[in-house]
Amino acid sequence: MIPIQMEINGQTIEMEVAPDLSLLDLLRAVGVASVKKGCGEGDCGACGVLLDGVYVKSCLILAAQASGRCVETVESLGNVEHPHPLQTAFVDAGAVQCGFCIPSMLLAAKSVIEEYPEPTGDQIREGLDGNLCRCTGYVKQIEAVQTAARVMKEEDHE
Amino acid sequence: MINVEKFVRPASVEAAVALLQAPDSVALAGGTGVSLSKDPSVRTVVDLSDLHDLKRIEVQGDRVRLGALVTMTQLRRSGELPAVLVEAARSVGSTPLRNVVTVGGELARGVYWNDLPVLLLALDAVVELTTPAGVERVPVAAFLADHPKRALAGGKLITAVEFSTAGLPKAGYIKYARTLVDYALCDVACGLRVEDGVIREARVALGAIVPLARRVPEVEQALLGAAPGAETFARAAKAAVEAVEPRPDFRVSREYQRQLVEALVRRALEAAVGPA
Amino acid sequence: MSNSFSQVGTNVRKVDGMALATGGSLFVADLAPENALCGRILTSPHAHARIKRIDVSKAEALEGVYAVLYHGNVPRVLHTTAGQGFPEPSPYDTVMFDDKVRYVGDRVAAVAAETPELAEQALSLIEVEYELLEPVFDPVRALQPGAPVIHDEPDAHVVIPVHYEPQRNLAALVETRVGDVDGALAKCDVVVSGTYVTQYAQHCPIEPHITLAELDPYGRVRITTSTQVPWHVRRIVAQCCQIPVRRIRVVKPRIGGGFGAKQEVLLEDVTTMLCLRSGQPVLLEYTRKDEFVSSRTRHPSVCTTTLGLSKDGKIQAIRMHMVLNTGAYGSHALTVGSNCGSKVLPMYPCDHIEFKMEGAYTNLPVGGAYRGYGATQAVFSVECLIDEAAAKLGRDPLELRVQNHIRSGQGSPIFKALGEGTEGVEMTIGSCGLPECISRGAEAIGWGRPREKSGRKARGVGMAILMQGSSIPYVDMGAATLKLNEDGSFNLLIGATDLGTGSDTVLAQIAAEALGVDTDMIIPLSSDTDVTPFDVGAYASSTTYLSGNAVRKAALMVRHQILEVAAEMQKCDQEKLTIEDGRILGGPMELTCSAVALHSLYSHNQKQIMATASHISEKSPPPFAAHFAEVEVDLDTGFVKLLKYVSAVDCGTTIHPKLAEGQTEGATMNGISYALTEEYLFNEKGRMLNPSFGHYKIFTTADMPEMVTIMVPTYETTGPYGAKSVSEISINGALPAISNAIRDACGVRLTQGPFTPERVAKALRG
Repeated sequence: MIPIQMEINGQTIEMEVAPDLSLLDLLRAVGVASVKKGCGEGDCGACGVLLDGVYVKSCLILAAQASGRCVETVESLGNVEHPHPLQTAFVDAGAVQCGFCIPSMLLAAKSVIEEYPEPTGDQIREGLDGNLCRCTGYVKQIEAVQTAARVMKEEDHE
Repeated sequence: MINVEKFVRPASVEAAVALLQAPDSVALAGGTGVSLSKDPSVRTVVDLSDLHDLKRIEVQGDRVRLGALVTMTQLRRSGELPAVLVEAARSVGSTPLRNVVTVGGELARGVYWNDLPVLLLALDAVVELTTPAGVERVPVAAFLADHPKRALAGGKLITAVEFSTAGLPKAGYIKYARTLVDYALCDVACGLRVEDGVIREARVALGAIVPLARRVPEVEQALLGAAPGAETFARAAKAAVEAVEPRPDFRVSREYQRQLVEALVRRALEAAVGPA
Repeated sequence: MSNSFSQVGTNVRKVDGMALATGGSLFVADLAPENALCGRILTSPHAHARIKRIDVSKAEALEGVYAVLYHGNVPRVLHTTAGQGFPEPSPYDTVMFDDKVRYVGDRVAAVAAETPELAEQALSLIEVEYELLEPVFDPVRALQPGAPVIHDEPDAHVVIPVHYEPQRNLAALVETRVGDVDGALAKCDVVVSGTYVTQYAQHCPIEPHITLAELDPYGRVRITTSTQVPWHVRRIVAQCCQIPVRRIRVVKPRIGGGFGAKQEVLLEDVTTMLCLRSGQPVLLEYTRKDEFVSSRTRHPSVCTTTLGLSKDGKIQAIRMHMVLNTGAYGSHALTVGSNCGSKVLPMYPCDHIEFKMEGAYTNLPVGGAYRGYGATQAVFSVECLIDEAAAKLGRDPLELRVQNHIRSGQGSPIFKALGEGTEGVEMTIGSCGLPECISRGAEAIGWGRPREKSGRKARGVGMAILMQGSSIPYVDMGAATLKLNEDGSFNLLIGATDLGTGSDTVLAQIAAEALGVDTDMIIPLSSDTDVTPFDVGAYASSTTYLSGNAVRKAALMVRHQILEVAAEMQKCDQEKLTIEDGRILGGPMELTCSAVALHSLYSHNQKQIMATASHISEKSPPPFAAHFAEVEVDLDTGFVKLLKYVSAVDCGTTIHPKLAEGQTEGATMNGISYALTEEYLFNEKGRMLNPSFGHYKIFTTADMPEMVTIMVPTYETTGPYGAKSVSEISINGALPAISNAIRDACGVRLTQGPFTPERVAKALRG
């Protein structure tokens, strides 16, 4: 067993983990329900998280590798009462159908907007290319990222 | 990975190399390979993530030095690298993979779908290996020639990749796959030095259609001394088909692989010289 | 018409949207107790074999293993995994575990253990000795004399009176004939014919199948499962585990997509049996590989179609011979097969039609319900042949379609001839927005504009027109209960199953519209067999049309009760009263639904204002669509780049426009990726070589073409507020539209999907 400690959405945890435990399985084991396992092979992207602010697939990161780092999941964005502009934009655009892929896609979208405050369609398509969604055809999600970027820019100015 | 006993995050390259002397150790960069590895022999994981010096891109004149831990995303975003390198970095995986996949990892993994080494071959890059005895510089072609695992045997660590853009202003790169996020069916990269309307130097490399990325000297020979243009490139493309035995690939037939080699080598050469 | 609605036609916030976007614990995996055992299934490595010997004793003896199931210790109950109405049209050819395996991935045994690692270890300790049998992989060969018999067990049978001949691998047969096709074809000026082949595909819900079974303190089993058919799950689990329906409660939480894959009872029987045997909660989930190999697929097909036209362009005769590969089991073979005819042939009314469908067993993965449900397979041939006929006639393929397609007021003998495996229902078309779909779609794609064909890349455009259905008439039933709360809100209890489509929201809108309140006042709760009324489930494009009508009926009944009490409260004529935005207008007092609720719950002649209504449909009004594709073909490599795709759809009234567009875009994208990349690759022993998203390519954002979605409003008088279905139709267009576009670009006809670079390159070589 490998001793680890990390910050998950602002809370520090310390525990011992099996050396082959993925960050995905760790997060689910400690009750972070928003991180989903759609394949466990690095393909679907439903397990995406921000690791020290970088968008990664948590099934391809070992829990021990994430020790000493800071993990953010969609729970850190907002909640039902106080949603993040991205969450509002996704819901209002009709970008959320089954919703299974959405928590990680929101984090991918957040990274896109951090890099490009006024993202073009191509920049969004590249930034979300690691997140498979079978429900939507992606059209509404791309619209939602653009809407959210506008809202976030306006909020920044206020 | 089930038998790993230690995760170590050394603070210096020297410390990392010292740790890698243990035969049951493995270096961890982005982790996309190591995390899914089932290798039961590994006892120590040497996590390189604190080696911040290896995360730098340095461009001085026509000399480029990429630290081994530079990610594909860093390459993608860098404003000072050749466009062809930025394009090759973009072709690797998807965004969350590019965020963690490193230059060193792409070289060390030694699997057919590593895209970046194909371009590094065409750029005639040099791999910097650090050993307890010091630093070795190995041309990327030699590094890949056998298998990266052998080149790295004895606990060597890739610390950087260097190349010069001086002699070779013209480079082309094509990744060909079923979708944009896919394992390549065929990668082609080429670098040409053209003087007075004649090709003076040529490097042409293939990947994915061969077990490991490699240069194709037969194609390079076909180009040397010729004038760049449709006829020369068509001849070079034919030479590629004759020279390369495609790797068995359950996704496509041998016949189609040959067609791809011919079409893509020609395209990459055309891309290198640019629009007429 | 639609502008008179207050709730219908508006983009209200999806009821579960924000809970999902904030990462709530809403899915089966999120709801499992910590002590749940891990279930795992051992699957067959062989395509066709008899289990000569199986020894589970070592697995049973392993510490931490609570139950091991195999054919020797579970009841042998013939059933179908197809989640269909009872009695099912699919053959009873499946048992929980058998002493024979019929495809690579077939069930052999199952375990429940404390951890995933232990469960895997237990599987590895099960010793199985197989006697290998000759497999058959080609559906056409499977039907020929002398082919290995896959279902040689004597007890496989059908439970409705249909043709079934397992001894010659015939899982389903449909034949129908109108007029005299041979005679008509002999008189035709133009006859076009071709064999079109469609491939295996997987639905790829991002959440794989997953089931949790728990015993409650009363000894009942609570099954929380990712399903489209909770009631069929309850019935089939009761059947397989031989326990009464009353011992089972099925709850569907939020589920991560279905697309037909979850209209199948795949894990629930085993999970329940493991739970009953171990007395412990058991969580069983498919890996992504299992999802590809052992779940369900789109039935591959070989379809030979002939069209005959007179020189004026009128279609005179159609003949279609469809061979469906149903894989190792006959799930949905008959009904998908029937739909190949019934959802495609009526598009071009003519007097001479022949349709034959044979569903063949093979030793390959099992077919099932998949969005499009047969229409996808069959429309490929017809819509490509329309283009071929147009070329022979020198006509614009768009014009030829316009000349021939079905219109409002027309019927088709096929509606009556082909039902769900049995006879269908006579029907004439009500609303039909196809002419507008075609004209607006054509404008969006720039139909008729010349495309570049210079150099090594060639561009072209193609189109296809489509129809589907809305529910299964006289078979499907949906029901809803609505009750008034004291704050003027309403609990809407619906059997209907929201699999991510947004049906909870759409049904809440319908209830709100009928009641005269805001959608926010509706609290939908769906798919809990203990709590909500029955519904057949989410399939056959039925939820909005069928369950929506049930909701509307229940809401009108509750509205009537509210007005009755309101009239009594203010001693006025009920007829004068109406409800708007939750207020009761037209009487002397200022009343609200809340005041009425308080009165009826607490003050006088107390009662719960509530109602339950059921609905069956008398017809299955088709939605219509016109799809257009623009491609660029790389003549050197055969790579087809899809530049632009237009889907113009008539689904009647769009209850929730954004969700309707979302259904269209999602189905369209799935169809596109099916047409261009998705396929199963097998080795010579029937093992799938690409069971991962790494090698089974579905499109990402990076691969998207420019997409245009056009919703063409019509009003279907039999639907709730004019609505028809929308979910399935748009998956069907890409195969023919893209094949036609490739033909336009470079003159070659692709008759087999997917249109991979290699296939296109081969066609270009001639």
